[in-house]
Amino acid sequence: MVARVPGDLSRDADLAGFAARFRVWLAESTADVAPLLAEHSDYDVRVQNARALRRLLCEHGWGLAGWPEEAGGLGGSILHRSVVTEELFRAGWSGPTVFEHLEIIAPTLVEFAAPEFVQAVVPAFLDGSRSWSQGFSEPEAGSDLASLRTRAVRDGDDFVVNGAKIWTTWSKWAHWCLALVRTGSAEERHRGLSMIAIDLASPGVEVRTIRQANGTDELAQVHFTDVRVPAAQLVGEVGRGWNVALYLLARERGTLSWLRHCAFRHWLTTGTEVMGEDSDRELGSVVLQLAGVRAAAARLLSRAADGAQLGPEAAFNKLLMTRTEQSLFNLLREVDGGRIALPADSPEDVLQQQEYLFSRIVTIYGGSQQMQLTTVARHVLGLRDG
Amino acid sequence: MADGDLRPADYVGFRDAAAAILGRHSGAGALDAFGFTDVYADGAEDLRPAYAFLEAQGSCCVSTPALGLLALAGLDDDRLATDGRSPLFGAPVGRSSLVAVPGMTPDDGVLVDRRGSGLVAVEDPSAVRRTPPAPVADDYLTVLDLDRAECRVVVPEGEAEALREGIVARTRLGAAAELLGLTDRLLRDAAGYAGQRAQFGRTLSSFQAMQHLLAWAATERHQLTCLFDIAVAGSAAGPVDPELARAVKAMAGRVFHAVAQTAIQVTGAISFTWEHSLNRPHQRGMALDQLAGSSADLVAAIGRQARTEGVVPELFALAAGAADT
Ligand SMILES: Cc1cc2nc3c(=O)[nH]c(=O)nc-3n(C[C@H](O)[C@H](O)[C@H](O)COP(=O)(O)OP(=O)(O)OC[C@H]3O[C@@H](n4cnc5c(N)ncnc54)[C@H](O)[C@@H]3O)c2cc1C
Repeated sequence: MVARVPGDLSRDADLAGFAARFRVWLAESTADVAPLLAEHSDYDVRVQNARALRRLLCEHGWGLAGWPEEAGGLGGSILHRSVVTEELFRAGWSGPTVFEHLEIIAPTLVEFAAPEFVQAVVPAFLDGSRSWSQGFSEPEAGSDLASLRTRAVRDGDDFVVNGAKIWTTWSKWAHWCLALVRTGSAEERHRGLSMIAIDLASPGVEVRTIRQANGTDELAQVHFTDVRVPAAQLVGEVGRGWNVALYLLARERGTLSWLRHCAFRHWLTTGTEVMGEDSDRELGSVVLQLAGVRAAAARLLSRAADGAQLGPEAAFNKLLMTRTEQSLFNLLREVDGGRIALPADSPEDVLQQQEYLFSRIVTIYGGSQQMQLTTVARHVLGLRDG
Repeated sequence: MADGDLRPADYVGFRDAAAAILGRHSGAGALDAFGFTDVYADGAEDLRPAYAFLEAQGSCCVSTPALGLLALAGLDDDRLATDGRSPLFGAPVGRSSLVAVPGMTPDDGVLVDRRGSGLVAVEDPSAVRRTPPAPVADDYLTVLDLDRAECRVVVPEGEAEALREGIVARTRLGAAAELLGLTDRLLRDAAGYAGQRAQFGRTLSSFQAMQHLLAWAATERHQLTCLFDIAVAGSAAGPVDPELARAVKAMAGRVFHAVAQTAIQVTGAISFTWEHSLNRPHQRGMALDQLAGSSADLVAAIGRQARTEGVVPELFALAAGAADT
């Protein structure tokens, strides 16, 4: 009989065996798990379910598998986390909403934050009781991120933060914001930046949600007015925030593509139900693109599991993942345009419309398509300006 | 591209060794220098060096019969060999009765797959070869018209059925290896050219429009290497999964065409000359795309299967994809 606990999580242990054990647990826990996987057009319900799912997974060890012990995990690697993700999608999951940040922000905290801070905050992130947002962009600093102006000035044991962030995804539901702030001069550009974790319940923080084109309000502006942040919440050293940001962005552009491709498969599979023979070539083309995203993601996960520094190659993943997402939704629009364009009359259709419109903007978040192409040109192909 | 640290080290080692040989030899001589036939002499258990050889062959744009041998690797059947020499496999082209034989010389025997008859030997291959009225840019593939050929059954239909899947999968993966090498060659040459040629007092590669074209080409190539490497790594452990081999071949054809178009755009009018270094690899890749299922036909077949079965294939398990990189 296959066990129902994570079991041996060492690097050489059998990943397929781990997946099989998780499937057994999932099958036996359907009554508890299935309601938390279901799709809802109401975002608040989705977030609630995502929290409850994290709690359940952690209670049984699966949500701790792949996370280091110093962060409250059971050991293992990102491959274990990715297996759990894939199996949940296979079981009908619509995605982790605010906990997509888990794969982006938690590894960054583990890598750069002080061990005491990691112990204080990461376990609560894993078990779903606390979630995080990422405060990099500002109204005047988008692609040119190194021009950002939010300031943090040292005052005793604290930093005092003033400024504003924008497009801060999921901050409406978040307890923390990992913010890239200026501690040096504007002329120092990226060398004058530091990364700091800000408790969003602190006095002087104001979160204003932004209603988006697709009707949801996942994005927000976050304003900081004389917000006191303990220096112990610095993530990495003063003046080294850019390195921390690059580490985080390699996750957002790169390793996250595994989770996203699982979601793409879910939508594409559903879409095949309304397709006819005349879509075969285009469908085949999207299936192939998806295979490319999956293969590129698997390579990056394996490199991350081996402890490799993920560099500019993550730009490949971002380019492939977002192109595929747009091709996929283009195809869904072409085969059933009314479902996407006309007022919806079911929660599933509302969700489809939200996702369609979201797919239009995915070539912007995490660094635009043009910036990713420039990264590949300069840092992979070695092409130079001038 | 210098991505040795991103791809499986063993494989890259074989590929680079093959490239060094292919810089000096071609044809059967190159195969001997690499020890190609030894690769599958013991039952074709690990064909990774053969795929690596083919990738290098594409990248150097050299002709050898490697792909025709690989298709029949491991069949270990005395009936196949004529005069003690291994025949080459003639791979189907499109939906016609044509087959194409890679790196064929007048002395080579040719074996083809005929549904209903089995694996059959073409009696006098040279007599049924297509003879173009004018010189061709690349003569790597010899095209035979089976409608005009006398054939002799070597492996009857009853036995051939069990061999078919493996032959097709190896041909597809082998052709994909060559297409990947050709893609690399075109990308490398185009990037090199853009770094040399100046217009408006700057190198072409300093223009963002050129950088982004080349970056897309590199991205296409990257996804192909990732999927290809997974299939090749898997081939060491057992027969290649036919669905995976089909996807790799389809992607290889598509990526090749996309990168070839970029290379032509980046190099400008000069690439439209007969002698330009791009012409031959371009012609070769176009022809290889037609072999054992064109990317156009395979993509449609992949879509048809996904639609009728309502399943979007995963193609490999994470454990397998992660294992060998
Ligand atoms: C859905 C979504 C979620 C997001 N979540 C977050 C988040 O959680 N946290 C966060 O900090 N930020 C977030 N962002 C913000 C995101 O990082 C920025 O939108 C992005 O960096 C681009 O900045 P911008 O929108 O100001 O566009 P701009 O930088 O003004 O760019 C506009 C256009 O100009 C192009 N462009 C700019 N510079 C160049 C150049 N040098 N060469 C060629 N083209 C150029 C861009 O490619 C783009 O097409 C999110 C954005 C989106 C859409």
